Amino acid sequence: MKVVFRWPATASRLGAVGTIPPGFTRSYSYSTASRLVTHRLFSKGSIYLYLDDRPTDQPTNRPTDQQTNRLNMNIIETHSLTKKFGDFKAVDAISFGVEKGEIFGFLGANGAGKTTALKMLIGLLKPTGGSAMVAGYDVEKHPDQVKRRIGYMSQKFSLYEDLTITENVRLFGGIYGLPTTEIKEKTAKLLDRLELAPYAKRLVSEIPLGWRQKLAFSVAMLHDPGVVFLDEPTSGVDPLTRRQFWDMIYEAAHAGVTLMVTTHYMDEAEYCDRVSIMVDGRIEALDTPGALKKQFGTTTMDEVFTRLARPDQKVNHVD
Amino acid sequence: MNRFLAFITKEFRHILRDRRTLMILFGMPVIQVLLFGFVLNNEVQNARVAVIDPSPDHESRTLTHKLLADDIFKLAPDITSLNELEGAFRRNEIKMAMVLPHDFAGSLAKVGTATVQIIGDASDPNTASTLVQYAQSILLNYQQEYNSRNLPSTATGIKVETRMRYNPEMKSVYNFVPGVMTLILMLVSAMMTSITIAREKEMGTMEVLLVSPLKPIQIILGKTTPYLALSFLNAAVVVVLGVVVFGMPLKGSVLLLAFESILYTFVALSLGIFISTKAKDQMGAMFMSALGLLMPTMLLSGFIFPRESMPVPLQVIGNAIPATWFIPIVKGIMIKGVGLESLWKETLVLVGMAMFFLVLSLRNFKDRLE
Amino acid sequence: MINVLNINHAFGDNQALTDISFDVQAGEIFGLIGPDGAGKTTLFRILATLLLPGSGSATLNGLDVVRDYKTLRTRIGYMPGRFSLYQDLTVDENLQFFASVFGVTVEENRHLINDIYVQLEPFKNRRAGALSGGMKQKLALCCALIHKPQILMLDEPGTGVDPVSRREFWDMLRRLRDGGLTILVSTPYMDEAAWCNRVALVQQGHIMAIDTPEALTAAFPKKLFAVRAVDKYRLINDLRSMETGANAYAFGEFAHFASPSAKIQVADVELFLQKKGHNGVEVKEAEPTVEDCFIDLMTDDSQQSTVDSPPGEITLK
Repeated sequence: MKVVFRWPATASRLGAVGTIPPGFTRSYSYSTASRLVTHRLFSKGSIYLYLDDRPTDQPTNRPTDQQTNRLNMNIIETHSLTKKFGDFKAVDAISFGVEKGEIFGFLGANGAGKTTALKMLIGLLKPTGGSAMVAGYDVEKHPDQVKRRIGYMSQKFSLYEDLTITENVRLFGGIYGLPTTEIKEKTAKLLDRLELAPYAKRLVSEIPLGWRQKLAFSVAMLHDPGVVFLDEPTSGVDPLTRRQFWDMIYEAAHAGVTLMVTTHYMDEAEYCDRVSIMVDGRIEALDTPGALKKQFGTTTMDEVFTRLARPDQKVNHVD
Repeated sequence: MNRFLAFITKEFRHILRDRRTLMILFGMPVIQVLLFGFVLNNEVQNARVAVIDPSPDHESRTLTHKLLADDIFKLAPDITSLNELEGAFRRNEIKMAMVLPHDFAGSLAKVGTATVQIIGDASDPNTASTLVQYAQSILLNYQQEYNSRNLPSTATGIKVETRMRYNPEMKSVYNFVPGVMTLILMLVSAMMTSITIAREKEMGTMEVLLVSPLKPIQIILGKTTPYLALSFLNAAVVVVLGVVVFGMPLKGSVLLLAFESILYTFVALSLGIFISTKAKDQMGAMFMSALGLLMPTMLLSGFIFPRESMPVPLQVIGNAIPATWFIPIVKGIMIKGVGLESLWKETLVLVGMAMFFLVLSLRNFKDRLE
Repeated sequence: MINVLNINHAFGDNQALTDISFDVQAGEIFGLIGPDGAGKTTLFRILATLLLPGSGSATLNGLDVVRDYKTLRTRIGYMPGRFSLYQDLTVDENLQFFASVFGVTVEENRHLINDIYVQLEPFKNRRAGALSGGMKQKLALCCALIHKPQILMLDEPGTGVDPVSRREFWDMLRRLRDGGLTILVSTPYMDEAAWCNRVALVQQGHIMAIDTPEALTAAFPKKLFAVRAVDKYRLINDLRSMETGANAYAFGEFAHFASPSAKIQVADVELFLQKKGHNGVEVKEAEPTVEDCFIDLMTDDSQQSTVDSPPGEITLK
């Protein structure tokens, strides 16, 4: 059974949903970019309802596939995504959606479950419950399709240090099956844009960390993925290069790429369109940085984070 | 002393909590001994042999009977003519063939000679030469017997008898138990110590140890003492397995064997420390000890290939390997039952090596980062 | 307490440290602030007596890092950058081990670490490898403190640790300082400068500036605005084009716009952005932070190629 509610565009906040029937859990996703607000109510069984407040004259993207229950609008969408290790719930039924072209901040303390969640979204880890759609494919059923359509860059590994810049670019172009001529073309363009052309034959280990990370990001974007996952991309990078890195992120988002970013720099949380904060495997907050600060009555994301991660403790200000 | 004890306690905890280390320490000796004992056996049993006897008579039957008397050869009864041989060897149906001439008994009696042809499959040279040797000794035996039966007047005096001393049955267990012991001690002492020191470098804990008031010698002793103890335990396990399961004799002094094992372990440990001063990480330590220590120990020490048949340069290199000196010591004590009076030379070489490598590794062990 | 004079160090062709000099007073927290690869770890290793400096000298509490290294090692508590504890030993086993290595017992020095240890106590039988990043860091701190050092040296204690744990950690450091300990700490996080008494901003082996965080920000040579508009990407690009020598970069929810001319006013910026067709424009003057100073120093020095760039002959052209 499926019921679709339409809702006036003005009633875009969650409070407008009204009462939730007993036995139902609630999840919602909200995006400023397209003013699309989807509220979903769904029970433990297969019945679910969702509210769609887009103007009625627009063609609605009704879920066409009964089995997957997905909204085509969101490029990342999870439903009660869960990962258990033994008795331990590393990720506890998280549900959220990310829009095309959005910069989505994925925050949480160490051990809150973000890495596990991220690994499920990029098809490296099988969920134990729930489902996740990335770039139009179910991560559990079609991890290979997902992998082909996403880019991934992590702080720990992204490039081979003992290969040169050009060799790395060619390698990853080859891995993603780009034709040779296209690889050549893209390599030249990429080196030019990063002003790395004079260093094309340098080993990656010889170039500074900041440059390496910028290069790694460009390599992750080489096959024009719709979604790029960035796992602490700017860790340890100097403040100026960090800004340049974010310039690249903005530019990509501008071009319609969806970016999911984890970071330990709280100022970077502010750069995101929306931010989710995970605590003990659950998403405890999800909204724009501005709305979150308002919700928690704080002035910085840092404090929001502290409130959520250490609810029993007052924020200590610098004297 | 307290520091030292604390260090050793910590070291034992590392060992006991790491399943891989435990496997290498306690699984390896047992597995190696059993593997060498049961699988890599030099003794041949039930090798298929074809006997081509175009005109069977009393003498040819006696000879064939003698050939098949032990478990060594087993007759392939289907192959009866010369032109079948080629195919049988190719299909690997037989390992050896004995071809008797026409009228074997007749020519022996009339001419006094008869040519018996032994054909071995030398695509597997080790097995072939072993089999051919067995066959030859059986033929020799038969010849003497024939002579004593038929020519009592002339040839009674000549009787060749081959006897293998100390290992009359030429059991390979006599060779592999000392070899495995040598290998295991090298593995545990040199490889494991070099890896655990390299691990501390890799994890960054070495930095903290170096910055502490611990002296380099204390770090080294703390690292090696547990492995010295474990090596000793391992040597004992190998000896006991060899004696109990494979019936290896232990004729000489157990005490001397223990002393020599400890001496050899010292050499191996100082080699391990030396490697760890050169290796930056566990991977490097692993490679260096595998290539630099384990391979030569297996290949050049005389454990698997006899040193006598090696080219001279390799023999010279082999002399620099501790195992080359330790294997004769173990064999001497266990099989021959000899004491220090005939093993002093090898023992002295080991003492020299221990001193050399200990000094070398101590000098190389820096109390700063490179 | 710490005197560093003209330290240079090179690894092969790579000049890791150039002319590093600074002093740290007793009972202060001195921060070395800079990105990865700035040379912080090399400097720490030299000061921890683990590395011989190429040239120059350093003394800690009057003891020379080269000559008196043996005595010095008993006086300092050193926490290397990586998580340098035994992952397969439990919390208590690690603590006990490091205590006995320095010839003390955990019991006699319990008071030094009590504050921190109470948080670790619930996990005292857990293996260090199974602790969260923040807890590992606290354990490492306990282990570095257990022998009652006079100087505490922490190399990037905050790396890989979430912001909340990081703040808790800094609270501990400040309590330790208030107890009289001298603390030298390095970090790539600019906001952590605020917790230090004095900081040195390090980039590519050079110290760009040394001062108290307040004095550093007071000396910020440009006029700083916090600017907000709906399209942040375009906003930053437009601001950069407004004036030569101006710099614009994302900074929290705002973009920071640093202008070299003192005359420019809020209204000027607003007008400029409105002309460019921006919506939701909000402009206000902003107080510079250490991070702004760092960015400014980096861009200032860009002619001398201190900006993060590959070394070698091409840079020189």
